Amino acid sequence: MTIDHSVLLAGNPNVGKSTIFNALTGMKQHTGNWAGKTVSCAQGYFRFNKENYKITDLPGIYSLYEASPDEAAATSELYKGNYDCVIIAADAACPERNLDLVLQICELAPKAVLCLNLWDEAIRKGVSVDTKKLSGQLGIPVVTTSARSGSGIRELKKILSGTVNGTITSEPVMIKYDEDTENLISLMTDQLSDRMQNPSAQRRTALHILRCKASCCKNSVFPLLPEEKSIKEKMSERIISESKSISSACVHSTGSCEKTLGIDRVVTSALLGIPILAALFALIFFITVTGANYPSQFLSWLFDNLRVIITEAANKYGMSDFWKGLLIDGIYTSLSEVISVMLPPMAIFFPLFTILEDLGYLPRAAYILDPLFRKAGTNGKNALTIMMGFGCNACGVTGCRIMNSCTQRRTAAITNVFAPCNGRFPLLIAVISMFLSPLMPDIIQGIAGSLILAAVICLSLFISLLCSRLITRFIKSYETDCFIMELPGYRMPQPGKTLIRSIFDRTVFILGRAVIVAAPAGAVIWMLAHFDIENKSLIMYLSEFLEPAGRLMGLDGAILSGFLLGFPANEIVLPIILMIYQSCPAITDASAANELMSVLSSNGWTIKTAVCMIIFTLMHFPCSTTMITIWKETRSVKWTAAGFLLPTACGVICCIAANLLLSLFL
Amino acid sequence: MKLKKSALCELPIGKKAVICSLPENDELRLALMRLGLCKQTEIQRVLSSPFGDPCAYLCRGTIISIRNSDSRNITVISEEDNDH
Repeated sequence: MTIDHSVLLAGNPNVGKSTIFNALTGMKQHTGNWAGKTVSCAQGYFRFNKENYKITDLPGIYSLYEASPDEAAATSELYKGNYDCVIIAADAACPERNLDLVLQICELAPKAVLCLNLWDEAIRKGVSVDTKKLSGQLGIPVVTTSARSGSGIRELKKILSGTVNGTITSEPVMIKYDEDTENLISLMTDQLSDRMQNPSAQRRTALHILRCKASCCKNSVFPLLPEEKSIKEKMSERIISESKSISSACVHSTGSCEKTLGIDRVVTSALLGIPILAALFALIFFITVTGANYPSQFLSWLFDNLRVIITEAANKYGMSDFWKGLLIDGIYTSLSEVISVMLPPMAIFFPLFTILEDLGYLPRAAYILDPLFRKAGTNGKNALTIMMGFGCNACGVTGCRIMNSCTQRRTAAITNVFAPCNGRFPLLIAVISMFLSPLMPDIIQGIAGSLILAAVICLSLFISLLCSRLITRFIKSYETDCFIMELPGYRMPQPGKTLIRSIFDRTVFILGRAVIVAAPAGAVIWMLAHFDIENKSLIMYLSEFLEPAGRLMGLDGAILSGFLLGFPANEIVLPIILMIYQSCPAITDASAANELMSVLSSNGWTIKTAVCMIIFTLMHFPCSTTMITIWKETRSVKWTAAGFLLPTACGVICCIAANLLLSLFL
Repeated sequence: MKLKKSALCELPIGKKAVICSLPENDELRLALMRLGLCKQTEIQRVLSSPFGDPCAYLCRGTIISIRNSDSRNITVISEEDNDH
């Protein structure tokens, strides 16, 4: 496929950029109602009027000052200029603030189209924008869209096609700065004239340097540059006043945030703020714990029956024992295991969590919890990265880009593993519902289970904060910290769409991951268990070697081997442990709670083992994907090593402590 | 009508004011400017979080939360209340 036009999609966070991207390309990027959801540049393609377009979705940014890695990445894409046009997405309900970025992009981009998204919301809020006048003032075409319902997208494509083909003029406005700044800019453009001919390119470069690169070019290229601070500030003030005047000319009635504020007066109030936060999460955990049992049992029944059929078929076609063992006992069983234990809790947890996300509640949680995180030397945004970590630690680590300073970003990245991801969540639920909640009377078991789970989550949060505190103390970072965050307006979630999207997207993702990781891992582990040296399988050697260490931690060798071999994916930890216990070359069915419990109990599992198991599940080395992500994000051997050692050390220490303590009482 | 200078964090809930100076700290200034706060911008304190810190302000149509330790260094001008 030849690409005829390349287009960038830029804009403030939370204006529905990902929704526009999805509407244009028909792709399914995950969207959410908070700043920082899109963490990397997604690329997609679409075809319009017999021409192919490549579109790059830049992360949401507030400015081009390169104040965060996201902004730096987006700004450099915009400055590089390998594109034909920029679509600037803006919130139609809040045009004035969005104009700051629009004006800055206009100064960098040779061609642009303004897309006023969330138009339906703006109309509901009573905002009315004179798009013709706005287009005239900015010098670029303006389109109004409501990407969620898909309206205006065709018009956007039409205008875009006209703009890139030159039938619609797009000459982004260049702001005139005060005399001093303009003199400086003309001085710089003179110096640049021998390197580039085009005067507007010269001006773009000069502005880009003034905005972001002043400190590094000061001595070498432009000795006359004044203090970076004052010039940036002057430019910024000029831009803000310009967007004020444009908005007062083109926006007729400004909407109010009364509805959102009304909700917030209750949801973040001194009296109800914390109870509501606690209740919401407890409710989600309760629904997940109690609801996951039934589909889990059904799936394992289904896979058992399917297994019988497959085995019969294999016998019929005379498959050799080796291949039957490898394919059915190894690969098939570990695959079905992963799916039947892991899928149901995720299929319940994620839609619920996504509803909170779409609603816009998560930034409120960060806002409420900020004082807690502040004590740990980070800030409320860390709460957001932890919540992302509940889904997948690798995503959580990437999400740490929203943190302000470099040390905080790295600290948040290596402590993210304390948030139990979806690979470990079902494991926790299984252990709790087998060993801990039966200690309570029958009637309250469901509630007790979710309360214990909530306590476990609180423990993980506490350890994560404690580690952050220690790290920031240890490094004595002098970076100033601030917590300045936007609280986006509440939006009605679309439960139907959410349910379908999060089940389908995650299911496909999880199944894909299960096939990629669990299938070969199942084969390897089956081999390890199958090949004997002096009548003992390799896996038994490993397990016996780790036995003393395991005993000290209140666990045993098999459990530690499970965690070690589960490095590719935490989903397969429990199946490996069971396989070692049965010391037969097949992974046992883990989903039938009673049978599973009998296997575990007969191998010496007690309440103490369960507690230590929970602790070590929360705190051990991250999975391979997360390790790679930590390396990619920090680019530092030290931090990556810390990312491996810190949680492991915490886990070992806590397990030994718990073991000793519980031995006194039990 | 008398005008009064005060720190942003001292503004009572619901009160409107105009920013007259930003904090000295460069990073903080930049963080505020990124979100569109600068001199002459109108700002209104709208919420206080359960622990009383951070607080949320309405500024140019969006709600922004700022810690009290940071908003203490932002000076604003507001109308003096009659009953004082």
